[in-house]
Amino acid sequence: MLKLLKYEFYNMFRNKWILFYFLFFLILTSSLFYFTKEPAKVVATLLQMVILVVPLISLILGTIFMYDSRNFIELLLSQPINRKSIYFAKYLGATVSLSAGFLLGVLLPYLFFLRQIEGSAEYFLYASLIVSGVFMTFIFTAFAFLIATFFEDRVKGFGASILVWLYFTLIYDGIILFIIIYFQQYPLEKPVLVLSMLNPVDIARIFVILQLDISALLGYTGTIFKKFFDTWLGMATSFGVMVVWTVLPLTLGLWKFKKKDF
Amino acid sequence: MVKVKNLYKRFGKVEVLKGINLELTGGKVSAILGPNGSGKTTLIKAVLGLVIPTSGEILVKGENVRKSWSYRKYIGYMPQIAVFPENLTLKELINMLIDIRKEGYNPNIKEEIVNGFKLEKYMDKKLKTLSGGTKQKVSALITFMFDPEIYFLDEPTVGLDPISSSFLKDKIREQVERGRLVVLTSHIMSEVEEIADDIVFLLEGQIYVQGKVEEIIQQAGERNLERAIAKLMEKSYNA
Repeated sequence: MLKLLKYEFYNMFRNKWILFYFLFFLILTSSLFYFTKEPAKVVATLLQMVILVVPLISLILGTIFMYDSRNFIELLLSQPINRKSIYFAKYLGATVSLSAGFLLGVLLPYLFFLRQIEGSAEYFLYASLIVSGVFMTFIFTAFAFLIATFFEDRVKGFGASILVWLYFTLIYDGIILFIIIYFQQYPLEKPVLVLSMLNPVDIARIFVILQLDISALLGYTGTIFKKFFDTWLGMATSFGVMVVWTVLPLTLGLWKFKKKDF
Repeated sequence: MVKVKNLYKRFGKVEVLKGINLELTGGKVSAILGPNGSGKTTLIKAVLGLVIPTSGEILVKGENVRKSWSYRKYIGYMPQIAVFPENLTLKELINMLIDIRKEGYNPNIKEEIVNGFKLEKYMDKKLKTLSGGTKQKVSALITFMFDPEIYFLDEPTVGLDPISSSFLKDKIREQVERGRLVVLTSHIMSEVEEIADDIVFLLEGQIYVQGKVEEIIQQAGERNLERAIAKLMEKSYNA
């Protein structure tokens, strides 16, 4: 499996998409730091990127990688290698490369501007932004792999990827809003708390926002989260929920991959 | 060496294999024949674990292939259409497979086949730039260089020029004389008659006829295998 992973990385480093992804975050973060020297403000903006762009790119690139390597997978499957190793090597190859692109893209400008920063350096806040970005990569690449394993047809696969993205970033919020308005006479704290955990994007947002003292950004779910747990317990809970959200699609995808006919 | 018991495979609504029972032993070339869509490739893929059977058992050297993967070290597989990771060069592909598989790798065989197919000049070329025939040669190379005990060759000579094709056939006969098992599919009957010992004739997912090449020709009362098989097929079309 480690050998397979070695070749996955070898292949990924030749991939131009990963480079673009890195440059995108590098330029974005650098320009943000250029305009404001307050990390809290930069994090607030980057957070929007983390919860919108990272899932989208992870889904799209994850699906592309999986479809493109179908030939390679077939070749490997006729060798004495088990399916689980192939799937995990592919998954780790994609997620580690994408995460590295994101991590370096947002970290390098931060380190570069660290001396010019006004006020608190917010190490912990910045770290939690990176953690939630990395989780978004792992979660949505797992979804992408699941989708690409399920659908034989590329077009259907991409369609499903876009739908998953739309659902978690836009439609889900709409559903929550609808529920809040429709059932406003009832006590909604606990149901909404559960609903927010059912959306990895919301959880990633809350994970970072819990530490910012900008209550306007918390939103309804975030406010309830903060009220229900204190900051630390809230972060631990949301961390745990993100782990579950990674493991769930990953195991489902692996299960399907093991039964798939090539 | 390979034993198939009551094998069924269904793709959605289509039942491709309907109860295959088969035993293949070493030292022979067994040809799996049959019209298009009769389940030849599916049968081979099932043995390789690329296709998961709906029911039935497959044993390779006594080991049940379901949920196992290490048995594939005994097998060399040449697919119908050779597919490779496109961005690698031929040399990189060979080194990678050696690195991943190791077991059985024999540099002498590799050299022999590289020379026989004149593949030396393609070593630093990207695989996506190779022609269909050359890809087929590469596919043969990576199958033979691990010196497996069992060969599954799905239409091995398609796209090869006469020189390469006869070279490959010589190699196949050579393996059988060393006690290896070679299973191949082909639509070129003269070729099958030339290299195969046994024939398994598949029809709509079932074994229709099975036996030695000469026996089948005799039974049909025809001059050669092509006519014998054509007669068999006709019979089945009319049935």
